[in-house]
Amino acid sequence: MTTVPYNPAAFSPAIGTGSFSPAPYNANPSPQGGSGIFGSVPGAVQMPQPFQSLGSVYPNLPQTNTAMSGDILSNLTGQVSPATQTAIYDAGAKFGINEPINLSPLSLGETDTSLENMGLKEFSGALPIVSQTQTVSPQVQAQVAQYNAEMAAAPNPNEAGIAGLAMGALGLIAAL
Amino acid sequence: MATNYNPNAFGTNPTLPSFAPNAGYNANPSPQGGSGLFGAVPGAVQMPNPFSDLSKVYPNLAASNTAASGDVMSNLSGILSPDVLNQIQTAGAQNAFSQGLSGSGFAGNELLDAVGQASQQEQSTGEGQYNTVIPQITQSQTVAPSTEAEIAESNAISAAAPNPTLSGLANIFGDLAGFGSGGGFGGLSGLFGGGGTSGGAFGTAGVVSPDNWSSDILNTSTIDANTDMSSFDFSVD
Repeated sequence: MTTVPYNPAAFSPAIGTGSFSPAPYNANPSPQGGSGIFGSVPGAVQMPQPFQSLGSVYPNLPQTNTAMSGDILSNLTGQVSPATQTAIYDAGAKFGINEPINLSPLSLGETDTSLENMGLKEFSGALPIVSQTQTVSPQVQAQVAQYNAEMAAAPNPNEAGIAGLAMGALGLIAAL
Repeated sequence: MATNYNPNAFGTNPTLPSFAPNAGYNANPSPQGGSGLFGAVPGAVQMPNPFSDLSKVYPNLAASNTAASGDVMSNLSGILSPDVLNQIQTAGAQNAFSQGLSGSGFAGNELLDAVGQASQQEQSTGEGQYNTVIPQITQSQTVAPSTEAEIAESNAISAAAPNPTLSGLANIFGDLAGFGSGGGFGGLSGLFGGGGTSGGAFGTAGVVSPDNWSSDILNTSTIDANTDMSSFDFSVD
């Protein structure tokens, strides 16, 4: 079976460059001649890659996801995030503060429970966004898989066509 | 004393130009003559490029994306800018002054607590911005995966379609043979598909019930691109 190459780069700018093809969209594709007398089995369709597509127009997507995931995880575990800890240490160095640094949630006016609750809210808000924008929905996955399964199981058009011709010839002979 | 209303005293209403934003779109395309006797295989559909389209009407889109990404990333990192740090320090000093305290403002840990709170706030801001910006960019600048898959499937089917002329001629031959045989085999019309699903007489369904396919498919005189394959029973026995 012929595999239809799915190449998002052919249709999207390179990752992080934000460049684009100036070619206008062809809304009137020209007809094709067809694939022989019996045709062939349609090629398999590759799974879309929305993460790569979004990353091609939104720079630093993986790093951004990592940063957000880290922030949320810290809150979920009721801890001050490493990013905040870094900010505190940096500020301490900048202002020449030599006192022991308190990194407990209470120092931020929070409790571990309030941080956890905040983390749950953030987690609930972020997950659907990331899921819907950067992963393929199960429905589309199933649709592509079903299509590919049907194409993979299709009969050989040439053999089927020849068999049909043979049946026609037999019918003609029988009639004569 | 009553004053009569005189609209001219306030000027005349401006005459607005007629505005029909979609007037240029032809909603009534003319019929076409068709593509030869047997038709042709539909052409491959190009993948849309919404980023490119948007860039043509919204200047500096790529640079804006980069800037937005940088802003969100900066907030998520929780690292305070020197300006913010100075503001916190100044606020501490003003607070101390207002309370009649001497010294430079916040005590050391108070200052760092304020920094930590500001950092935490920036991260929350960044998460909110991410949740707003990412869906907007996705919807406005990328093609939905479902659309990608639909186009790929359509193009794959068209690319595999038989040559309509050749298959049309073969179908004519098949019909003649079927006619000559008294229709015993139901003719061969449509055996070779017709520009849509290929796979000839036996279709392209993945699972065809042996008990059903002969009755459902072979007894159907015409199977071509316009045939509704869902009408067949492809159930597994």
